Amino acid sequence: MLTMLEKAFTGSRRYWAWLLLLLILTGAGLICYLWQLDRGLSITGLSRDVSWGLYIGQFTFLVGVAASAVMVVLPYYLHNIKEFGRIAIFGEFLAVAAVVMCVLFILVDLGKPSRLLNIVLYPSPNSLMFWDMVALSGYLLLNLVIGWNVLESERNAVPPPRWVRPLVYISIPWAISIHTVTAFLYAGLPDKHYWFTAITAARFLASAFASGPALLILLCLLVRRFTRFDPGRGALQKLATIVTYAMIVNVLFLGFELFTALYSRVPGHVHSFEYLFLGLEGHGRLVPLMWTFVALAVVALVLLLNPRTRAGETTLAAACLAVFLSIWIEKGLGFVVAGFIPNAFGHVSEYWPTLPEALISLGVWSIGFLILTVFYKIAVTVKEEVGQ
Amino acid sequence: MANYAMVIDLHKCVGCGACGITCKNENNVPEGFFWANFLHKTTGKFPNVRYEILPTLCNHCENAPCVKACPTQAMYKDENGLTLHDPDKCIGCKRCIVADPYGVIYFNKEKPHRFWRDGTSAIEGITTNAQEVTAKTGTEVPYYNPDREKTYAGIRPKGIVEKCTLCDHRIRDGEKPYCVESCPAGARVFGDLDDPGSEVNRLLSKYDHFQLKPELGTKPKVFYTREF
Repeated sequence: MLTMLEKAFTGSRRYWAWLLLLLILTGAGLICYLWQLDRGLSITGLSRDVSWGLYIGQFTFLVGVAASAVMVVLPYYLHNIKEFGRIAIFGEFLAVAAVVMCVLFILVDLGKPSRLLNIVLYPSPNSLMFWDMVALSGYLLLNLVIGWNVLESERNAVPPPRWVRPLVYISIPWAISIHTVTAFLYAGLPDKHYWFTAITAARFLASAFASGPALLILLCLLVRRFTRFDPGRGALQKLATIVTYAMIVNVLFLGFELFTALYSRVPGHVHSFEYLFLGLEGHGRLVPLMWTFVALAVVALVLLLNPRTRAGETTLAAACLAVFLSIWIEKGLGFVVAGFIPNAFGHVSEYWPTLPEALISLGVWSIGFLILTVFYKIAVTVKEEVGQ
Repeated sequence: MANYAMVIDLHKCVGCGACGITCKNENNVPEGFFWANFLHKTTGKFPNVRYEILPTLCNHCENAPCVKACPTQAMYKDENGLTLHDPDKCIGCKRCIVADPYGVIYFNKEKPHRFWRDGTSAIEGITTNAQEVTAKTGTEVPYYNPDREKTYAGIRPKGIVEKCTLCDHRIRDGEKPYCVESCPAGARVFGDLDDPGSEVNRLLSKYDHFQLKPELGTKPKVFYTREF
C-alpha cells in the first residue's frame, strides 16, 4: 500500500504546480470557512425563505457525479465490455473524490458542524438525511476498497482478490441508491411543488449519467494528454454514447415536467418554472443562467447526436464541457433555488450566493480535485509501469 | 397526557399585534423572527376593498413534516402533542425549515440579538446605548426573560433553528401560552382536544372552522373559527 502511495510524491514540475494551485484555492476557501464559523451563515446569501443554496446544490450535483461511476462499472463487470477495463478505476476514483466533496458540502452548510456526529448518535430512520448519510458513507467505502484493490492487483499482475467481485456487484445498486435517496430529500416534501414530483429521482439519475461520464471523458482526455497512459479511443466513444443517451433522456424528462406544469396551469407548478425562465413578480436573477443552460444543452445535443462531431475528439470535448456546465447550472443551482420560490406565503424571495460562499465552494471543489489528482496520479503511474 | 390545540376566533381578533409582541418578550425571540406571526391579505380595489389579517404560529401538526425531516431527533413530538425542539441536538442542517410548509421555523444565521450589543446611541453623547448598559449592569438587557430557560434555551445560539413551543414552560406550570394570556380580545383559546368538555372542543363543535393548508395532510392543531 505504501509503495503505491509513494507514487503520489514523485511527479513532474507541472504536477506539483497544479497541486500548489489547488492548495492555494483550498486555503482561500478555508479562510472564508473560518470566517463563516465565526460569523455564522450570515455571510452567505441564504435566508429564511431560501435556506438551501449553492452548497446543497453542489452536493446534489456531485452525488450524481459519484453515482455515475456505475456507468463504467456496470458495462465492464456485468456485460464484459472490455474497453472499460482500462478506465473503470478512473470512474471509481472519481466517485471517491465526488463523495468526499458531497460530505464537505453538507458540512459547510451546517450551522453547528461540530455536532455532525449527532446524525449517528441520534439515528432517525424517518429522516432521509439520515439515509443519505448511510448511503454516501457506504458508497465511499465500497469505491475506496474496490478501486484500491483492483489497482494493487493490476500492479502485481494478478487477478483481484475474489472477495472484491461481490463488492462490485453491491456497488452497482448502491450507486443508484445514493442518488435516489438524494432525490427523495426533495421529492417527499409537502407544498414544495417544484420538487414534489415522482420524476425527480428519474431526472436526477438521467442528469447524473450524463454529467458524470461527460466529466470522465474530459478527465481521460487530460490523462492522455499529460501522461503516457492512453485510456483508449474505444472507451471514450462508448462513454460518449452513454452521455448522448443520458442527455437526451435528461432533456426529455425536463420536457415532461414542463408539459405537466404548463399545460395544466396549476399555479404551484407553473410559478417555479416562470421564475427560472421568465422571472416572477419582477424577480429573475436566475433567468440569464437558465437560458445559458438551455443554450448549452442544445449545443451539447447537436454535437453529440451528430456522429461526426461525436467521433471528433475536440468536438466531443466541447460537447462534454457543454453537458457538464449545463447540468451544473440546472441541478447545482436552479433546481434547489426554484423549489423555494415562491415561499410558504406565496411571495418571491431571491437568493444569490455571496463571494465568501462561492470561495468556500471553490475550496471544496479544490479539495475534491486534490484527491482526484493524487488518486489518478497513482493509477496512471501503475498503468504506465505495467505498460498498458 | 393531553392533546393541546389552539382555536383563534377571527370575529374577536382585532389585529392589534399584542400576541406577536408579547411572544417576543416571553420567548426572547430575536429581531426578524416571529414565532407568533400574521398573514395579511388585501382583496379588491378601492372602494371595494377588503383587508384581512390572520394570526399564525407553529401549527404543532399531528403529522409534522419538520419532525419527520430532522436527522438527529432534535425536532420531536412530546407526550402532549406539542412539536418541540432540542437545541442541544440540533446540527443546523435546516432540513426542518425546508420541510415546513408554514414558514414558522427560523434559523439563527448569526449570534442573535445584535441590537443588545449595539454600540450606537440614539443621540450621540446623550442617550445610553446597549453596550454601555450591558457594561454597567453586567447582564444582557433589556428584554431577557429567564423563565424561558425552564424548558428551552433562553436564547437560542448561532447555528441552530428555533420555533414556537406553545409556551410549554408556562403550560407545564398550569398557565396558558403567553399569546393567549395577552390577547385583549380573548380571541385565542387554548385547550386539550382529548378533553370533551374543553373550551376548544366547545368552539370547534359550535362554529365552522378551518386549518391552514389542510390538503397537505399535516393535521394542524391551530384552528380558525368564524372567518370573515
